[in-house]
Amino acid sequence: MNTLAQIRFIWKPIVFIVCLVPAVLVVTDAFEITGRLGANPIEEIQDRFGNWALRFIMITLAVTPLRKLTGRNWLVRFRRMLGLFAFFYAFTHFLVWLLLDQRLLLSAIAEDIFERPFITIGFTALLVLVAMAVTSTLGMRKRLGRRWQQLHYGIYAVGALGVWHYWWQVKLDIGEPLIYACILAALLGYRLWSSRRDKRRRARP
Amino acid sequence: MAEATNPLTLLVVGLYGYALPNQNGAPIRLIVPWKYGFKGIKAIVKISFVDYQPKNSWQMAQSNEYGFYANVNPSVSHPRWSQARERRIGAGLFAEKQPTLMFNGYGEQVAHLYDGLNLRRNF
Repeated sequence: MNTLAQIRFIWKPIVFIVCLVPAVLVVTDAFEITGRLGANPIEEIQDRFGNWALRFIMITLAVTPLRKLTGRNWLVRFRRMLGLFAFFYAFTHFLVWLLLDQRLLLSAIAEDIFERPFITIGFTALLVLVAMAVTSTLGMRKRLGRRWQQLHYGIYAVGALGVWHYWWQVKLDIGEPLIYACILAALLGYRLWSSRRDKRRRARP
Repeated sequence: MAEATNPLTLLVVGLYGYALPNQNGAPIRLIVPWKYGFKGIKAIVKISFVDYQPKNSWQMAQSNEYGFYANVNPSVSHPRWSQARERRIGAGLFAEKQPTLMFNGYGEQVAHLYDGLNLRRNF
């Protein structure tokens, strides 16, 4: 990783395209070019976008630990894009549910959001992601000052709410949600340990 | 026993003109079309006649979500999702959901079996 220009015009576009691959595969699977969506295509699409939203949340949360452990500071240049992809996959997951599954039937949608706890949790996580997405620009960061950072610490809540939403959605096999929970615990645990270590170092005369 | 001897209840050995495949519950399975699918047990190895209400495996796994009767009932939702509407499998990506029918549409044949039973408590 050398110049800022190389990152902006070569590496970020490449990573952008790679991040789109899961979404493209859904489309190609729908037309049976690459694979199949199966007998329950709407559920399959919802599942895939939901899973990738969680994965991108974890990837985004992994940037800072990786940066600290490897000393590769340029990693932070990709963090916003990765976070926005988490938003993209989560929002599409929501849109698929809204348009394909619930077919814009407001009564069923309201019932789900307010009476099914796991959906309430997921919807809350989405609202936080929306707030973070619309304030993700540099202009917004300057405008909001200190509040910007407070809002964007919301990614921790989004991670926890996302895993919780998944955990309460599955029927009996909590294997996958458990894996995400462990990854989240490791990523957040590292931050906790790292910030405590920094405090101790600063406390020493 | 009234449910078992109802003409709609079938012990099934074949599907679409073929012998029952393994994933559909070979060699013999149960079909009770007015109940939720988990009551249609597959790959039956033993049938016992008991004088108490037995538990099924889904009920043992999560009794607040899966009950004994499991009659299709659009007005009683599963704790985590509504049972009011359904989408036909194979209907495609843009298919509408259709309203779920009480007893899956077999009310005429089976509703009398549950006269007086509170179907919300006995889900």
